[in-house]
Amino acid sequence: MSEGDMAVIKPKMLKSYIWLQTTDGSIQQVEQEVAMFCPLICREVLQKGMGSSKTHAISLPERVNTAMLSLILDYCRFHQVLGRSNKECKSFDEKFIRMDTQRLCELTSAADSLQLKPLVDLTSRALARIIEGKTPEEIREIFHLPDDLTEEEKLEPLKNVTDDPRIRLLNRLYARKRKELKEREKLKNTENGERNDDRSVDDLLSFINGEIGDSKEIKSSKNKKKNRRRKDQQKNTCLYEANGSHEEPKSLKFVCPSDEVNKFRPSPSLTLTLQDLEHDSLNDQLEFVDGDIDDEIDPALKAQIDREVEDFARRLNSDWPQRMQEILSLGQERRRAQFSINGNESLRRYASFNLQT
Amino acid sequence: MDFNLVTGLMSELEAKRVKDRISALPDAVLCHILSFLDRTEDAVTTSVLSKRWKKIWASVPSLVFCDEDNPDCVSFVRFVDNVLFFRNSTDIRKFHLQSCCVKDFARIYGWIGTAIRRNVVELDLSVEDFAGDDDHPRVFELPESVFTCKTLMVLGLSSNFITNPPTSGCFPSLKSLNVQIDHPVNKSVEKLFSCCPVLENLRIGGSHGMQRDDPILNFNVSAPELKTLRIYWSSCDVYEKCCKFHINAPKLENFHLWQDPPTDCFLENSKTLVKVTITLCDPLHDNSAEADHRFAIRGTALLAGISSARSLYLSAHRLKKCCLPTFDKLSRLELILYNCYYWELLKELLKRSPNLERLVLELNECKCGESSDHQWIPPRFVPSCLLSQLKTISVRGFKGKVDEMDVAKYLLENGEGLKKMTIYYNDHLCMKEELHKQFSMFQWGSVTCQVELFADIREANCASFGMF
Repeated sequence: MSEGDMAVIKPKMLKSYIWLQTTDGSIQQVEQEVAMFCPLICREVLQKGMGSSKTHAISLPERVNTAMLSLILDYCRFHQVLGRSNKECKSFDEKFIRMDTQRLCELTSAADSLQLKPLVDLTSRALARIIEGKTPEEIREIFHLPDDLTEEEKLEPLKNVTDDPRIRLLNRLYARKRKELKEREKLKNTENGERNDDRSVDDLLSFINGEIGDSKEIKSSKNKKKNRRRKDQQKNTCLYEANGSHEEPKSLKFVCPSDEVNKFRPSPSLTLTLQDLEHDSLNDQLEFVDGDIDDEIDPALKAQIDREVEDFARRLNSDWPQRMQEILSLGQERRRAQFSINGNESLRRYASFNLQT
Repeated sequence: MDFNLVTGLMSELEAKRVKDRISALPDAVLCHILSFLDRTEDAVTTSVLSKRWKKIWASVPSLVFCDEDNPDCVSFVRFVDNVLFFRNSTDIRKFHLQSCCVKDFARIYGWIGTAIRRNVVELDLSVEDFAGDDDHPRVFELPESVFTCKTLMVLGLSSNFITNPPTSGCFPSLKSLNVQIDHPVNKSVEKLFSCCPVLENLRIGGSHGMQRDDPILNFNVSAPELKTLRIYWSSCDVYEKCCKFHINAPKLENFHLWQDPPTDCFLENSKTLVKVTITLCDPLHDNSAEADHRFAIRGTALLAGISSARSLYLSAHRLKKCCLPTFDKLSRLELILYNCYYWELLKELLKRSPNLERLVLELNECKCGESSDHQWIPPRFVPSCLLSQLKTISVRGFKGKVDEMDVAKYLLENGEGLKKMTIYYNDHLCMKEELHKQFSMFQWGSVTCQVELFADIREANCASFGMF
């Protein structure tokens, strides 16, 4: 490196240099103000005193190879000069970012590992521009992505949320809860208040899942769904199924986090199976629902709950998000019952939910 | 540099291995990339790319939904529902919704509620429903949760809406508000502007007056921390309804006003103004004395309110009968002169700006019917700023006419502190030589002054000469 050579020939330089070492072996000197533009290098110098000599060169993260370091230093060299106009900076950035996609990804990676946020933003924007408006096939081709999703997984994105089995499940649960509450009111002081349901969790699980499969509201073929349900319970698939007619992937789609179904495994911690879903409001709602059972319910609150549940059951398909919010805010006012992971307790809570029609 | 050598080696080595480099980036970076996409649909599309990409979209903190391109309302609604439902529980930083087909406003409330519960910082809503009467769209009421949201810092509203801000605890963190009001159907938007305690940035845009029963809006802006205010207001004055703007913003520094035609706008108590831009467009169809009178009153009030400005850009017809205040702190003045009111305004402003250092003039033709022959009558006393403070003068649209030359001569002769005068002339008459000659013949009040003559900017023709 020329800079390194110079350093050897001229012992005393006015500028100070910082030594950097990449994982692919090259060690080089860089002007201090340029190198310090990177937060990571800055920290190494200031906090650990590294980089002052060749033997104490700062080891750069693995994702920064010599080529990328060179690019990054070019970037830093330009931007660390104060007083550049916005126009100048933009112009430089635009020219700088012109490179092939592979290199762009590498640069993003390197910049990220050096915590150089402006450059990460710049490269991320460039990559976003590449992704924008393209079909998945095109994107896969540009970035050499493996096409490793099964056809089912790809088709999970659905158009019809009214077929959401979870929503219908909630619907049913709420209807039942209402009934349950009424019955409990009647039987409040009798021993029959507690229902011992000694079905195993497995049965409950398959009941829920099976029931979803049985619902008449699903427009798509039921058989396929049922079979898939059983078959895919343990796999990474969603509860849903694609509709008969599929829109091309580019149009409106969504995805359900497929890991959720993984949780449909018999386990004591499984409360209503939906507890594990990451969606908070759903969680909160269900917590509220279950928590209610164990609390003493005063009539006013109960009436309110009844109304809520009725409302919910009636309007669920059209505006459940809003409902959830209302219910959530109601639930938040009450103390939330925390579910314990204790086997027995959970089962009991399960049991108290009479899922049998 | 051995950069090329290195890259050459590398590409050689990896030519066989075509790597999926982008998937090697950490989740946070992939998410960051997706957050730059303009539409959430694009982000969700990536969920089918590969296993790695399946769930990245769910953490993208910014959501942009727009149904303009999508005429199918039902699928749009479902899409938004699904995205919100299947997203993981990370915060939503930005939520933009532009909807003109959703009829069920309750659904929209639900979406907004979700965003608020996810600690939204930037919210942009444009909700219209033209389902009913085309002239009277259904009106969207802003839910109270928007007003009380603690994380909301940037809010954009663009539609006819009903607002009922609570009396306290309103917009606790809102720093930036952008409201676009086109053809308002009710007056409730007025309440928005005095309930933002920490607002620093406000933009009001809109148009008004097309319908006979458009309400007259009285904008009462009262924001103790406001630093920048932009108003873009156009009204069709057919029914002679004039919206009023009353602004109480003691910390205001930047004020930009664009009105067509001018309406009442008054700044009370703004003593720290730095940069002011005023553009008042001419009410073309009204040349009556009454209109003039109205203009005069409004102009006077407006200019009185901005008298503390340090930098002023003023473009207004018909300021002749206004009473100008003294601009004590004004050091830079950019003045667009229309030939309906030319040199009088310049004289008045120079007289009243004792500390003016930079003067920029733009000479424009104007179609308001007055003759374009003007005479420069020098003021009785040379303006004090010209004698000492004024350092640079720049004139655009110079046509070499008699009165313009007179003005230039006057300024040069009396500008004792003048360092530079730049004239941009319209070169259809190839006047370069002539101008040179004339300018050289003037007596210059400042020995160090430089005069530059440029033909219209497109031609980089420049002749510059000094006294010696």
